[in-house]
Amino acid sequence: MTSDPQFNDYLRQHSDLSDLYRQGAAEEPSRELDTQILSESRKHVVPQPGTSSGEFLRGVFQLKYWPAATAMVAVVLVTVAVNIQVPMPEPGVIHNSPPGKVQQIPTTELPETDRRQPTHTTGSTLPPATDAQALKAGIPIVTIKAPSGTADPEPAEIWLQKIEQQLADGRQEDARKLYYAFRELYPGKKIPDGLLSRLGM
Amino acid sequence: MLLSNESDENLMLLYRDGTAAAFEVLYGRHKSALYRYLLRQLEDRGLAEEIFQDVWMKLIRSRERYRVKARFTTLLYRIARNRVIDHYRSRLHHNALMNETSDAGLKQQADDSTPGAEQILDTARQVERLKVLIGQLPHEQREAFLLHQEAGLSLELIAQITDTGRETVKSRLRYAFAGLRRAMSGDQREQQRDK
Repeated sequence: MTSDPQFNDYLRQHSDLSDLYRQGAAEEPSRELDTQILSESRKHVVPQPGTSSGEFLRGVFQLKYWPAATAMVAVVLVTVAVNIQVPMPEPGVIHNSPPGKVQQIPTTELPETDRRQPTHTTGSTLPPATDAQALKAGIPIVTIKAPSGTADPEPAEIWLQKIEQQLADGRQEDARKLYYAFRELYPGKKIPDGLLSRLGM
Repeated sequence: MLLSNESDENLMLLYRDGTAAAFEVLYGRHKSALYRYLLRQLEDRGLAEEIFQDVWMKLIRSRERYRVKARFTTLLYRIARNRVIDHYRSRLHHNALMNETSDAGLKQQADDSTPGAEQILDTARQVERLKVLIGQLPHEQREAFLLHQEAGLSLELIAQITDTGRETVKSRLRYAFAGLRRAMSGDQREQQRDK
């Protein structure tokens, strides 16, 4: 119907023709055509975990996501700074040795309390406040890696899954684009064997 | 976010920004009406499918430049209409079609191909007959009729798409309905006379 009452009356007088037409208007494009068009629409569109890359980058430029972007930059800077100043501890290595001299002790020599109640369970490089107190008191602190399978999957793993998914769907170009973005975000992150060759790189 | 609740324009913006699923919703919403619009305009399934594909490809390829300037349906049917005109131009039939403003030929053609009484009683055959008559409408009337019936567009939007005035669209629709009514009534009179 339209915003013209007189014309609406006119259309109503001919509604039987409209109804008759609609009864026969059942033709649809073929499934093959649907598939072709939808497949074309997916080309060059790179899905991002959570949000689209274009949307996020545009959002950053428009300051839409600036708190998130600032937080990400801060985390990267802190991580870099800590990596420069503090040597990465290995599991079973005591922290409170003099700088440059780390003392390896057998796990059997560790105090019982430390093994039962680790102060932190991941490979964090920054000891928490309780560790600082322990260091002051001369209590050895042991860094224990979380058992595999108990920790939440890292975002990097989600990225790798997405890349694998694109490859499985035969979209190598999209997979490659995702890989480049992944490398930007996780430089040095180990990737599954043979992934590069499957990406054609 | 539930994509099916989004407006056409938002879906197109989402697709532009990388959400492939937004296009699928948009395509699902408009594919049938657009396809039938082209099918009735061109009266050739193969050609309708070719132009149908072209229209969507054009949208896909130009998505990065998409800005909301008008309703999405206006953009979609404008592209489709231009492709139909291009097709007729390439066949040198365009002028003949655009000059056909009288519905006299429609009545004559309807009379020439009047189906038998038993056929007219069958609704399905009436529908088929109506489709034939729509195909015989002068180009501008058929275009207005299909944009109104298939795409469900308002007079204002049809006017925008066809680069004409609202009153002109009204008049084309009136002519289209009157022509179809006359032709269909003519068929019924023939049927009664045969009885």
